Amino acid sequence: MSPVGKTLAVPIFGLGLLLAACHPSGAEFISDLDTVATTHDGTFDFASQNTYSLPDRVVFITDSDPGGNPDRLPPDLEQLILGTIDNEMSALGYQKVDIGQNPDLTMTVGALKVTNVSYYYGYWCGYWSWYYPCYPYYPPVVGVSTYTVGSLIIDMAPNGTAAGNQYRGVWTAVIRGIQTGSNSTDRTRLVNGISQAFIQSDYLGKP
Amino acid sequence: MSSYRKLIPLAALVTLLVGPAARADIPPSLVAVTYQFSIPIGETFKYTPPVSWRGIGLDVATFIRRDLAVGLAFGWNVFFENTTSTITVRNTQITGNQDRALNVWPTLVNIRWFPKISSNRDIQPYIGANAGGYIIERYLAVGLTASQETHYHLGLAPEIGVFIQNPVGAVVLNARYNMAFAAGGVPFQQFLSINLGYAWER
Repeated sequence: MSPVGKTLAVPIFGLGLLLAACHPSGAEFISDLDTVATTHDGTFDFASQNTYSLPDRVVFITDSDPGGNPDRLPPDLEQLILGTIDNEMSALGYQKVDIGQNPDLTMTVGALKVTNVSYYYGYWCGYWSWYYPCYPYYPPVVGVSTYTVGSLIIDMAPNGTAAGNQYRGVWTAVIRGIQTGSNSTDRTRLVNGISQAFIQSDYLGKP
Repeated sequence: MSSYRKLIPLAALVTLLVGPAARADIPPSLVAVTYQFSIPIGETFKYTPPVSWRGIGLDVATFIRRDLAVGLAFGWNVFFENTTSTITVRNTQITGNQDRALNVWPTLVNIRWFPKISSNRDIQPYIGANAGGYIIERYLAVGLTASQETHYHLGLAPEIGVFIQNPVGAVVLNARYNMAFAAGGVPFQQFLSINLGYAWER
């Protein structure tokens, strides 16, 4: 190889490696991590259903009181969630009735919260570690980060398919995101998520 | 005696390949490093539509005749897309911001034919054919969930290019149509890479 070749080969190859990163980007905002997932029973005829029922509360799924009454979300948040679902179902042509009026579809709503905690630590290995390995006699830097992931789970089941105390669900939506600490922002994201669940389920609704 | 008979066709083949030029006339081997940008096609375009500006290639080749070279081609091409859309995975519709990436590592053997178009060969076009495999890592992140799968795909890649010689080496410019056949549930992948680099004789 010529001297010029030897000089240029390494920089060109290095530049290429810099340009070729494995995964060049990632989420920039917390809302970038919002996810809406829906699944359904493809054999079920959603168009022939007329009525639905919706509970008056949103169950908060926790293990704080096993065997006891389930926790609930704050009332104003419950109303926001249930009101949004109501609007979407009405817009699709379904009529809301009381659970005692034998509705065609029964809906349930639950919420789940998971707090993730991660620890990290590192020794003093900075500029001078070029000359010295590290400073193990300095206390390590310790950090803790937490984030809370909230999930809203909406289920839909037809009447008359119960086995014991279980219904056979035909539609499920999961809206998931990370809490920002701003109530107004989180509520807007929640409403948008519920609406998106219905938007992407184009098989729902009456013709 | 029978083993000698088996060797005769092999010797004839070697003579055919190297015979037209005396050993002293055979040009040397070459090494080329190229920057590559790639245009996704077909299923590759559906998954990651933007043109890839991240790519690098390494070629080594040896002339077996004055107009014919065999070699190896290695590369790394990165396709990336960030989009918010709805995808279907196992009967589940998922909407969210997605990071999609394809890391493609071609590992190919090739043969190139250099037609004589002038006496000094300062500008030397060629056509070539590559065959071998593509290691393809397919990455998908939606919200807080990510999945990654890596498969080895058999593939072909016709190629056309030109060497522009100077006193210390040659600028090389070529276009390679990469076709990696379906493997492991990942569909047929295609992309056209335009490669610009420098080649040195060894």
